[in-house]
Amino acid sequence: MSKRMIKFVLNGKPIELEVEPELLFVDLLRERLGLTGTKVGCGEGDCGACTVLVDGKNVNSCLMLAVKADGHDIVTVEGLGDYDKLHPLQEAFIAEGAVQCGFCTPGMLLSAKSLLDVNPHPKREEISRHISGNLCRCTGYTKIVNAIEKVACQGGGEDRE
Amino acid sequence: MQFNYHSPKSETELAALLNGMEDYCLLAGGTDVMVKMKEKLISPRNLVDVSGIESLKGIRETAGSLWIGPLVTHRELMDSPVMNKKTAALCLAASEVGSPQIRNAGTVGGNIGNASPAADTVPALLALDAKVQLNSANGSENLPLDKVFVGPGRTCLKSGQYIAGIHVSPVAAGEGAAFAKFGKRKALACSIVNGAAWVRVQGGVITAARIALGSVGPTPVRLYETEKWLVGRKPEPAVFAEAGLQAEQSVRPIDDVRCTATHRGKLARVTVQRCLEAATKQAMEVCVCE
Repeated sequence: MSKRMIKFVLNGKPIELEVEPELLFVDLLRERLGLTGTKVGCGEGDCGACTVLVDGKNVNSCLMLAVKADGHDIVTVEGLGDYDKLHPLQEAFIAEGAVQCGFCTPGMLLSAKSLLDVNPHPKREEISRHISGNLCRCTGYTKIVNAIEKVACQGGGEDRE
Repeated sequence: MQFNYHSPKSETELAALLNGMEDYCLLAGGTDVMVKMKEKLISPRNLVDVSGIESLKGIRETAGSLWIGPLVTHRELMDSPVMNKKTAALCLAASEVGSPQIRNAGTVGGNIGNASPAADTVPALLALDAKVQLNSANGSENLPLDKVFVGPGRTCLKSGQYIAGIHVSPVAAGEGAAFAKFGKRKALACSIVNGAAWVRVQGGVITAARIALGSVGPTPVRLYETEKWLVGRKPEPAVFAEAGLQAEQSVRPIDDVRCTATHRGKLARVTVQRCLEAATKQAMEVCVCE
């Protein structure tokens, strides 16, 4: 099947490329663009390790065809912060011990960001509910919720300038 | 996965494309279709992505009815102010689908088209008397939602037809609706049993009712007999209990990995009982909705 040209914004930068229609968005990120922060866990939309933000909303990139990125604004964990300048959520996850094996962390961070961007001061149960599509088999979630709550108490998750 | 990918941008284009096309599958949010394709349960030669068709999106209030575009996501439904005001039970059902990620992608039309007996929005839609508009190049027809399902994963849609819209009745003063679900966990849990009820109460008696259950048979079901039985009765605990018992006796659930058939029957009883209780309570509240 013929390739399709797609245009979208990835971590703030416009990008244009040709993709096969059967290519999954997560494979485009990891294998073609080298952005391996987005993980593949179950591959069926259950675990949330592949979570990315599409127009600010958390979705499973393992269930998304790359062609569907066309025209959208997409943020992956690479768009949150870097080694020199971490995002407040990343700092809080480290400080609160919310990272163990780390496999769920990128997806967890993005789900947290999608919550704080629309609801900067969520209640604990709203946090739990919002990360219910991100499985963590290490932490037991308490420290992850603590970390997100910490950022919420500091005034939400807006990007640092 | 191997398929020809099509992305029509209008309903006219979609209808023309589907007319005569063989071996196709419609793609909206992808939360069911992609999983089925990955697991090789389906391998359509043509994948028709309808997500770019604007006329299939949005929620509109028309005279005495609410129109839900089939591409409305579960998230949009649960966040919609008008739907929360007029069909809160449906918003609750939408909020119980999958996870936040699934709700951001999955659509109401997809939930119907996928025809899972456990679909969460379906019992709520049935209780709200949903009608589905099916369009094709050859015309248009309106069907009550329960006529759409013919088996697990199977709908009555003929080749070339697509879901063009869903109409539901808003819950008016003196009426109430409720949804309930039993799952293994609080999130990402396929329903063991789900259900919804709608009632109208006038002069202290039930004058009309609709009850729907999911995951208790090959398709979601309406409990027409019990609905008729309820008419003229007082909305009181003994009546709800009897209605629940009727539900338990009428459904034909299966044993599966999530639950035994016997236990599903008991959950059907509790679901109907609780939904009727909550729906009548809402119906008898002094109206604060205007």
